[in-house]
Amino acid sequence: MEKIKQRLHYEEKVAARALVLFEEHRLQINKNTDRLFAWLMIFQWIAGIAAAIWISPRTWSGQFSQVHLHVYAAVFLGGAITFLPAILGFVRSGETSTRYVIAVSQMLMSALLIHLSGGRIETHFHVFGSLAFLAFYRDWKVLIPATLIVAFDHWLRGAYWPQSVYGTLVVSYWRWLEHAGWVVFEDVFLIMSCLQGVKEMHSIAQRTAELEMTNQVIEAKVQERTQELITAKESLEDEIEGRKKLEGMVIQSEKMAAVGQLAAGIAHEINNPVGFIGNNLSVLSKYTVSFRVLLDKAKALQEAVMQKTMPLPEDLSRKSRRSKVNSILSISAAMSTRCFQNRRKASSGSKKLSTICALSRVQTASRAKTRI
Amino acid sequence: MPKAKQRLEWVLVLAVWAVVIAGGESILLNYEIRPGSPAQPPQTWPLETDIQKSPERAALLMFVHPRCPCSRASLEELARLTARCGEKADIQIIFLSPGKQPASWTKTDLWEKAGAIPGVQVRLDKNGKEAKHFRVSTSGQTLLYGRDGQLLFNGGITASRGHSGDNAGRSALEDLLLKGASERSRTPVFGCSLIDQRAGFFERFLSLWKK
Repeated sequence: MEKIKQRLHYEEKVAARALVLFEEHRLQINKNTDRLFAWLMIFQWIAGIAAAIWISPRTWSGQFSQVHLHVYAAVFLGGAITFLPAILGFVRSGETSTRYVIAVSQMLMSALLIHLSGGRIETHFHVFGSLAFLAFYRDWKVLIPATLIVAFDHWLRGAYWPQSVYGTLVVSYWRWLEHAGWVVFEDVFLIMSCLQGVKEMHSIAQRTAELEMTNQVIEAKVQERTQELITAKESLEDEIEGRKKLEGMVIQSEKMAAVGQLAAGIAHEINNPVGFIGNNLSVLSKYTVSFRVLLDKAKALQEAVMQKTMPLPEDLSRKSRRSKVNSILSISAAMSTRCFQNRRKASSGSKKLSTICALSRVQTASRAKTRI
Repeated sequence: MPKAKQRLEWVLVLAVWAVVIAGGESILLNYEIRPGSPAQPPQTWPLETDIQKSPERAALLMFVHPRCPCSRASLEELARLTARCGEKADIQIIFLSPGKQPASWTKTDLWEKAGAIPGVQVRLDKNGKEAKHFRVSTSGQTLLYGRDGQLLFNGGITASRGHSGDNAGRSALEDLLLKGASERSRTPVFGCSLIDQRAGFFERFLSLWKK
């Protein structure tokens, strides 16, 4: 039931839209045709003047001549026939009254052109051609005033000036119908063509409306899906951003781990010689202390000798040898001091290397500030 | 009520427009069906004319102003007549040639058109002498004289000014030439005047309203 209601609602909307499209299309056709006829009327007016000047420029009385009435008719009567439909065609295109005025004017112009051409049979084709042009409106009602004008013209002339139409003075009363009948003959086919054209316009409007409705539905769905895609994209972007940060952290951590391992390796490599040096320095320091004790004793001995409390052994009696002992004492004192300082530094460096080693152990290392 | 006023204005415009057009059409139509001055030709072949007539054959004469636009239709009708029954009569087309004008004034496209009709003789009418002999005053005037020199037909062979097509004059001539008799022996002539005549613009305009 719900589906049927929806279907009916959909069909109503399509029908309403189809009607709007049909009217727009028809209005556009009417406007275009009005403008076309406006230009055609102007062109016919100019052509009529040219024809009058070409065919019958002057009328004669012996040697004397004057401008032929046909020229005046082409200019003034032709202008009167042309100006109203031309103005309406440009200013009020699309109006119903405009195309009716155009239809009447076109037939009047046919009559004028037939006059100006001296009743040439070929010019009569303008009548039938004009009716076909009027069918461009796809409005069969426009053909009615055009046909009535032709019929009225023939009836009037047939009644009062039969020779001007039929070439004879005696004519049956109904002969005008024969002439109008040929016009009606063409009208029948033109009306059929107009009706067929309108039917096609309805069909086109209906299809266009259905297409528009379908497009609207598709467009709505596309919008909905697009929004979903945008939302999904945003959440994906957020996730990617988070993962990138995490990846950065992991990379940094890996780097630190690699640096730690490297440092551990270096520390390991350095630690051994440092430890060796430290140990040797300790030993050296002990020896240096012992050596200094020895030297102090040697100095005391020397002092005693100097003060002549004891005889100076022979090898120390010389001044040069005394100076050498003094210099050895000062160097050994300096060495002892340096060994003590380096031993402290070596010990400090060893501690730092140990810390680095501890840091390199990822599982057991804890964060701690250190000065390297 | 602006809409009603607009409608009224619209009706007035249409009415004025219709009146103007109707007036113009009336003037044009009146001019087209207004015949020229009718001829009063002699009932028998005039002896003073220079045009030769065979006693064995009928003679058909058409008088033409060389610059009359309406006579183009007359010549077309004469061509049709000639095609149907040209062998039944000696046909001559006489072109007005005013003395003061050169030959080129007369030998216009109408002269060429006339010369192209088979079996037709074309001649100049110096100072309208022949037109005076036959008392013809309108271009397109056609005269048919029988073998015995009697006037059988006097009139034009177009239905209105400059309009070719079926007409009473041609029908009458065909009947006379082919059957020897016709119901009609006289028709109006539509064409320019062969006689020198000056008229002002308003005089001409007023003459258009005359029947």
